[in-house]
Order: sequence, then structure tokens, then C-alpha cells
Amino acid sequence: MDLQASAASLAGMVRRGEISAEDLIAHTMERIEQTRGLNIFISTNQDAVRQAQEIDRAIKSGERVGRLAGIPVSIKDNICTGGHRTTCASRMLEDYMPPYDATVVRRLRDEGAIIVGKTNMDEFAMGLTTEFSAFGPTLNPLNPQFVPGGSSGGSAASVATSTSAISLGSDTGGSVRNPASFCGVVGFKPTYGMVSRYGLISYANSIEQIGPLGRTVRDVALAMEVISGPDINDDTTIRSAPTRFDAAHGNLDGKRVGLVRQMAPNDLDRGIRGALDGAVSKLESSGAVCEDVSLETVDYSVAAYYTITSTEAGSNLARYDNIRYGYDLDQEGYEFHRYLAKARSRFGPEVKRRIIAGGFVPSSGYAGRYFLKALKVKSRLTREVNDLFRKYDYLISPTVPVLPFRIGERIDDPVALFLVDINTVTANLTGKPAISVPCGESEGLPVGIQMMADSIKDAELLGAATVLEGQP
Amino acid sequence: MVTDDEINRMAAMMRLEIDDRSEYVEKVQRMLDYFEILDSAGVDDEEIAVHEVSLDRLRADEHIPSKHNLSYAARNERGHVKAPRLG
Repeated sequence: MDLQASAASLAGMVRRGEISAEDLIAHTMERIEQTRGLNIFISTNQDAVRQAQEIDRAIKSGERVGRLAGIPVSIKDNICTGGHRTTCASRMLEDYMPPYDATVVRRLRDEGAIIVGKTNMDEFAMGLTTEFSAFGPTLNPLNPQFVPGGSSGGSAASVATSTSAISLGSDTGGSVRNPASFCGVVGFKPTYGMVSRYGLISYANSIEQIGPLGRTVRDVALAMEVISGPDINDDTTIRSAPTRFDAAHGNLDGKRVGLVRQMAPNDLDRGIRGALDGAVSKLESSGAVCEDVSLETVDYSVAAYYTITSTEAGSNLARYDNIRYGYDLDQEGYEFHRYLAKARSRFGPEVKRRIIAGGFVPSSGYAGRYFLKALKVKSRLTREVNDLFRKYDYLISPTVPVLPFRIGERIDDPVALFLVDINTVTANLTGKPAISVPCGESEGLPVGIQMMADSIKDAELLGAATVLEGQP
Repeated sequence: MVTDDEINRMAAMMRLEIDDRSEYVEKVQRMLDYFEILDSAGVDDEEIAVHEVSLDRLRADEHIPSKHNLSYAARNERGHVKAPRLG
């Protein structure tokens, strides 16, 4: 069985009875076992094969089955799966059993997808290497000495190893696109409000979005058709957003593409530069006109991003008091506040650092210096990006301005890690959709190219991104 | 420059027990030092954009019954949530 086939073609084969869902899922579970050394999954679904048998039974008896019937899908472990452990890769939530499915999970299940397991990540999605997981790092499937990117590193590694055909991650500052780039798969961050966040465990809720990863742009579009759309449980979802994502077209006649100068500096790795040049050639051969553009505020975007996200994290993670969510720690002998501090000592070091920073930056005496300035940078950046989208249809850049690095190489320097996010945070701070598509390699490591579009133009962006796929 | 005392105070306010203080002081300090570049962004005159949503765009203010018991994960005792004693 070809587990590497696209989700779209596997779904067709299952529906037509050419392969059984049971076989597909059993092979996938076997593959998960074979790749256990990469530490991709935090937990797996022991009921997956039985659920696949249900799909086969429905198909045999001529019942209508969903668009993803029998397709193996993995879910980042910060998205709630009813009755299946959801840990956020944190010892704080290591036994947390959500009582309900996130909206995106329910929509996948309604279309017949089989959730094969929950993928590894940086604790509470804070990180970009998947090294900050309480369950140990995920290794890059293309070279296990390297990080897979993050924070949705398990999701990207899962798609790359065919232990799922589609995975859902969350993207707060590049957490879907960065691992997609490092693992050589496609990753998409939708317009803010395009996908419901109900059941996504919050880190920085004003900018984060759930987004799909897949081996092709078309698979990512298929996933978007299933998971996007308004949700009564998330009032930030856009009611009028289109729900058709036809990623088939590749005609860019008359389209204008801006190459963001600040995201491709002169000292860019030669291999990454080559991939960017290759992407530009593909876009131009499809009829687009590409030219350099400038986004001055990008230089301040990472500082603004970390200021805003730390602040929101400090507030969002206040709920982990071991009373509403938590683990077995006897309350006897503790005074209230002392008990909370003791229970919360289970957070990992990166989460603690950001909670402390998140206390500082909006606090009295510091807010004017940090938090309010960050909000102003966000406003200016949004204005600059909106100005560019009046003239250009798409903006492109390398997804990450550096090649994947070795495990342990940058973990001790928070600021060196922050700067890896410089090309991805703009889409989050401005709410725009952005995709990473693999476009070649350098030193044997994959390089992703990012394309960004104006708000709500997610479907057009996916259509245009198909041009970047395949050989030049 | 953030002092050891400030980190201690903030950790207490954020209800965090911290073992290796010097490690946190140094790394949080490096983060905050980096955030200082916001000073040179020249955004003092920039208005902070607010996203206004009119009330008619929100869902109706009515109770939607849930079939899930959302509090089952909490430490329930005789229908109450159990918490440590205050003070």
C-alpha cells in the first residue's frame, strides 16, 4: 500500500472500494510503530482500526460516506479530542481528558477521518523546534540529528513519514509553516477567523489559528474545506467567509507578486536564495510579475510578537491552578496561593520564562515601554501590509531565513531562537493567510517558500501556491 | 535591567515556584533586553488599532445547553469543586 499517496487520492480509492479503510489504517498504525524512535506522537488511538472497519461496512452497504472517509489524520496535542488525552506536551496536563471535541476535530470526524494519534509539540506551543516538549523532542525524519521545527513539529514529521495523510497544527507565529518548511511538507496558516478555535487550548488567542499540514497543496485545501467556516462556539469566526477551496488552478496571468526585501537579507544562505529564485521563476512562468517590495516594520515584528504573546500567555495560563485542570497533588497542608505556586511548578522552563516575561511587559511601569509599543508596531505593520496588498496579490519570502539546525544547537539562547520567526510572525500579527510550500533543498535539508495573501483570500492563495509545487 | 528581586516578585505574582533563579533572571533579562528595540521603531505617534465588533454581529445572548459536563475534570466532591483553604 502506498501510504505516501495524497489524502485526496487515498480518499478516492477508499470510496471506490479499491483499498479498504481497515488496511489503510492498519498499515498507518504499523508505520507509527516503525517510526516510534522519532517521537512524533504523544499518544495514539487504540480504536482506530475498529473505526476504519465501520467506514468499510458503510461503504459496502452503499451508505454515503464523508470526503475524508478512512483517511488517517493526526492532531496536534493542544487541540481537544473528546475522551482522548490532550496534554499540550505539558506535565501540567499529562492526564487531561477533554470532555468534548474541538470544532475542527468534530468536522473531521463527521467527514469520516480517522484520528490516528496526537502529535508532539513544544509545551503549550511555545517554541519552534519541538525541543520544549515534556515528552522529549521530535526528531526530523529527513535527518534525525536536526530539529523538525515547531511548535507543530510532530504534525509536520507525521505528514513527512506518512504516519498521517493530513495533520492539524496551530500557528501563533509560524508554528505550522516553520515545521512544514523544516520537514519538507506543505503547511497553511488561514486568515484569522477562517477556522474555529473552539477546543484549541489557548496560548495567544488574538493571533493564533489552527491550520492543516499535508503532502500537497490540494490536500491542505481539502482539509480547509472540511474544517473552515463559522462556528457558534467561536465568535471570532468570520460568518461570510467562503468555504470552497478549489486548489486546482495555476494560472497567475496579470497577478503581481512582491518579494519582501527584509525577509531575504543579503547574507541569506545560498541554497535558500536558490530556492527563492526558483519559486520566482515558477511564478513568472505562470504569468505573474514579481518585484522587490519593502516592509520596514518587519525588523520590529519579532519583538512585538513576543511581547504580545507573552502577555496573552501569562493571562491564558493563569487557569492552570490544579483545581480546574491538573494532576494528583494533595491539597492538605498548603495555603491557597502556596498550593497554586507548587502545582504550577510543573510547567517547563520555556513556559515559565514566558509567563514571567508576560507578567512584566504589560505591568504598571513597563507597559508603556513594551506592551503598548508592541501594539503600535502591530498597527503600523498591518497598515504597511494592507498598503502592499492594494498593489500586489501575493507576497513571497523564504518561510524560515535559516536552514534546519541541530537538536540542542539553539535551545539555550531564547533571542537566537526568536529571530528564526522573523518571516512568519507578520501573517499572525496582521491576521493574513500564509502558506509554506517545499521548494528544493540546501545541504540535504528542505527549504520552504512562504506565500502570503490578503485577508479572506485563502482559496486564491492555495490555488496560486500549487504553482510552487513540483519540478521547476 | 531586571533585578533578581523583580523576577522573584513577578514569579510570585504569576504564582510560579522557581528552583533555578539565576537561570530565569538571565534568560528573562535577555528577552526583555531584546524587546528594547521597540524603542527605535518610531511608533510613538501610531494609533493602536482596535477591532470593533457591533453587537448585532455576535450570536444571540441565549443559553445553549451542552451535552457535555464541562466540569467533570475538576476535583468534584458532593457536587462542589474542592480547593485548598484560603489564608
